[in-house]
Amino acid sequence: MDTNASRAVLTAGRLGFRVSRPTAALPTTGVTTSYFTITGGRVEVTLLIGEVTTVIEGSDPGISVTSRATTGTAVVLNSTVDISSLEAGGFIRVDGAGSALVKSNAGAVLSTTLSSGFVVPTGNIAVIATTTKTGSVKWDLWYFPIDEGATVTAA
Amino acid sequence: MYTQPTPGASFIKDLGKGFTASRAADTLPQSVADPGEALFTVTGGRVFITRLIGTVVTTAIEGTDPVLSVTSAPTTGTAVVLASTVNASSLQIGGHLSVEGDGTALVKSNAGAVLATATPCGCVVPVGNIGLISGASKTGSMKWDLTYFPLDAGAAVVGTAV
Repeated sequence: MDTNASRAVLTAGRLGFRVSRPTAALPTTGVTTSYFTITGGRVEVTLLIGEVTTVIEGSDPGISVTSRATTGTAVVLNSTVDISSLEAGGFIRVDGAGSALVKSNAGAVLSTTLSSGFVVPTGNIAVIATTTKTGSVKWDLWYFPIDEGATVTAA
Repeated sequence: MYTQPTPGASFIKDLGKGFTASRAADTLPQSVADPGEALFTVTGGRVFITRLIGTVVTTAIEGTDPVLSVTSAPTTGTAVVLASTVNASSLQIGGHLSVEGDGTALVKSNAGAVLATATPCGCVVPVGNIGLISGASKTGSMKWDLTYFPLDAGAAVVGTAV
């Protein structure tokens, strides 16, 4: 029988475990805000998307996403994109290519050239804002553990 | 001796690419603007699409371009183009149009294969419709097939009735 539970198993088989971060206001400028915490080892992130729940302010808010290792130097997963006026239901995709974040209106999160995920170590995934602006986003992340005991939780 | 049961082909198919939704063969929409003629309906939440292809059946595409594109129109918010137009004129029976889901042009091919692309389909669409836009009224008939994984509990895709 095709139940929601069995359907979720198949999704987990393709994308891994899901971690959700509840909707929250955009971070304050100059403050690197941890969104997800990685413990116990490395994980491969297969999908990381933000969905706007309160429209983003119209004047030049930009965000970027970085992986901050507990030991070692941080790596920019995606650089700054201007998300001004991004509508409720709009999306921000982190593909881990180091290039600009991929934003889109509510219709879809577009595919990117990367067919595989990106790997992050113990530490956290953080969002950096260029300015302090209004707007709220909820985030969802799917991952596979690489090292035994590795997990991700919402910060 | 214990023999490992063989998983059904359907299960293996679902495991690899996700659940399948199909839309039966239908004539091309006749000059239907954005958001187009609905091919698939998404309900219950977001889905991750792993493949979306159209196949020409019964009637080849007319010799002049129907100017086809594919869009995702959410129930709330602004539509996003999943694949922009490609000249599909004279596409043969069995020929394909493939959606990469990155907003670039549909990828067309003759019946022999749907070729691999640099951007494999991996887009996310919310509750709403996936539609086929036509910029002209041309003859031709296509069926469409989509595979997906639900991202939210209860999310599902069905092909619209023809």
